Amino acid sequence: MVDVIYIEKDVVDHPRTIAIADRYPKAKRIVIEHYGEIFNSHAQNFRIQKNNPSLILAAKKNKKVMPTPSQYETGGGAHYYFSHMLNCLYDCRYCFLQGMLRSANYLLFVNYEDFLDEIRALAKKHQHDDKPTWFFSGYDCDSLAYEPVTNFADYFVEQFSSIPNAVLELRTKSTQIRSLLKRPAQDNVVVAYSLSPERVAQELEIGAPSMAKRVDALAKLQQQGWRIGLRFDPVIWHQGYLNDYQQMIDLVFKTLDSERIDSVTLGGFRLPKGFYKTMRKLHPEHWLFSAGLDDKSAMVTYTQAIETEVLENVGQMCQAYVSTDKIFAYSSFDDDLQFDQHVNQKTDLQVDQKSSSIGIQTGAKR
Amino acid sequence: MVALNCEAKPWVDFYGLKKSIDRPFGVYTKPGLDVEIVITGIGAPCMATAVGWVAGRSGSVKRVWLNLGIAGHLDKTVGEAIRVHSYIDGIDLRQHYSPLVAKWAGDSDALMSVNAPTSSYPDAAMVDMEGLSFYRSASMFSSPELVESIKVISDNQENNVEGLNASKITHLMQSQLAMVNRFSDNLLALVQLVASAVIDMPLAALRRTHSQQQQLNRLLERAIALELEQAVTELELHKESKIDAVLTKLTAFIDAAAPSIEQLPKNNSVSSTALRGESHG
Repeated sequence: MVDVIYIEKDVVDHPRTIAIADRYPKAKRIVIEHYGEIFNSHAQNFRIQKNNPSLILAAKKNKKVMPTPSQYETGGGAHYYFSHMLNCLYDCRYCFLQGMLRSANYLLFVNYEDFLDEIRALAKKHQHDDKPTWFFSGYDCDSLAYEPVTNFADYFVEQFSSIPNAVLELRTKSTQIRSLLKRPAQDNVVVAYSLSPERVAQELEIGAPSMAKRVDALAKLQQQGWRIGLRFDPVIWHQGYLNDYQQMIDLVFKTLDSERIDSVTLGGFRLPKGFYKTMRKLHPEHWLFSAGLDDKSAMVTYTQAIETEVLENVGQMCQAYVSTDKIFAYSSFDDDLQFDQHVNQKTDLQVDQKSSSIGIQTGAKR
Repeated sequence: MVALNCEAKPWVDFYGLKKSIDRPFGVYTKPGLDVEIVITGIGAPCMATAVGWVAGRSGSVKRVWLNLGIAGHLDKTVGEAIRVHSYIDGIDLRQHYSPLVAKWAGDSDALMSVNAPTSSYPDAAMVDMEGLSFYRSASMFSSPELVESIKVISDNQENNVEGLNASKITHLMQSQLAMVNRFSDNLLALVQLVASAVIDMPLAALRRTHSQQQQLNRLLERAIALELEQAVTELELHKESKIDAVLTKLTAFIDAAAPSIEQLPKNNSVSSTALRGESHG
């Protein structure tokens, strides 16, 4: 439920604005000049706002599709990301958005057509590349969680069918997959699910579907032929994590056909220091920000010993089910993880604050 | 924060408050009740001074700020209670949007604050003399999500300000008592989200810099997060002769602790049994 909808005056008459606003007939509508008046004002409290976020409908006017930082370019080919929305229906305690954004309001850009124009132009620029061009969605929001309202996937998946040299990756925790299941699987779309053990999901991924429901959604998508990816990122270190992750991985790979999984990625809990400080202030009582962390560099990460241990252990659990060329791990440190030697490894120690907005990113080689 | 006694009277009566301070501002309180009504007087300077005075009297207490009062509007119905969703400076016409988090059952509108009484009404905004000053001042002491204004329409184009008197104003405010009280309950619930817990540690004798105090506060926050309060008190840190030794010992102790999922508070908010003590001062 949304109590308040702010609408930029330039998009008041946009058909998508009208359709979305009409879903909330009781919401107060406030017309504004620019979303920044609401979204970027100083001294907002993300944690309080998360209690009852407002919806902001706006047009994105500057650059809409950004290249991923080089350390995330995997397997060759060009990689880009775009965000039709900032903020998320869920309230994952580890999510960097709490540290990056001042506001917890949902900012939805309704000018999908302009995003698509940029995507098409970039795909055209790369039309002679050997490998397809990747476009990631779901780093500044969940790609599917708000689907019944936004029809984001419904629109973009359809449009990507006419861009053969482009691949769309939808990153999500949501079970809102009806718009995908109603159409035939599309070769150039990958649905990548973030997964955590049930206990972690319950405690840290507030408002998100249970792990079991996500696995169920993955199974339905896979059965219909959709390409799927698994993201164990961040792996959360805690007492009993080995048992929790083993149970989840057993369930996941016994439910899904591991031969038809596009990629599996792992990463430790990591944040730019500025984001970490903001998040810690928002949740000073939370253990996530208080244990096992190394905050001596620009990135706050698990200590090297902890990160190495959790990534090696969880990586090895995955290796029991899926071929190593599909497993990719992000290490914040330069040392080699003791995986099977074929496991792909990335380091992101040098990631800057801007690039970290896609920091919980797949390192998957395509 | 209310400009006039007659605007405040319904709430003074409802809560059974008594005047506890007369000057520089009238303050109504009741022992054991966390509600304070302050009569600020009319106009922006009075409101800003009163907000600063209230904040200065009680230091770092986390609080919500609610401005109640009357306002004029071109065509809103007299007696309607309206939440302020943006504040307009009557001089430069700049508009400041306030975050709207607490649930409110009624309508909302912009509020233009002017420096002198006026009989002309702006388009699509209420008009008063204190709202913007209240919002700007109170937002310096609390998150803007905790700063709200409810205005009751006292006059419009059909019913001008001439016929208003204290009795009529009290009557208008009284009619919105229940709605405003529900809103203030919703607003008060939000303050729990920014409350912070501390551990009472007898370390006042140890000299420290501001930076060392911050380090100590952070370590004690970590100890609370990891449910190590009891264990930390058993470290007998007060026996150390220097604050550096306390910080070193505490850091090593906390670093060795791994989190347990079960430690997370189930209600996702700070425990209401927060401890207070000298360690944070």
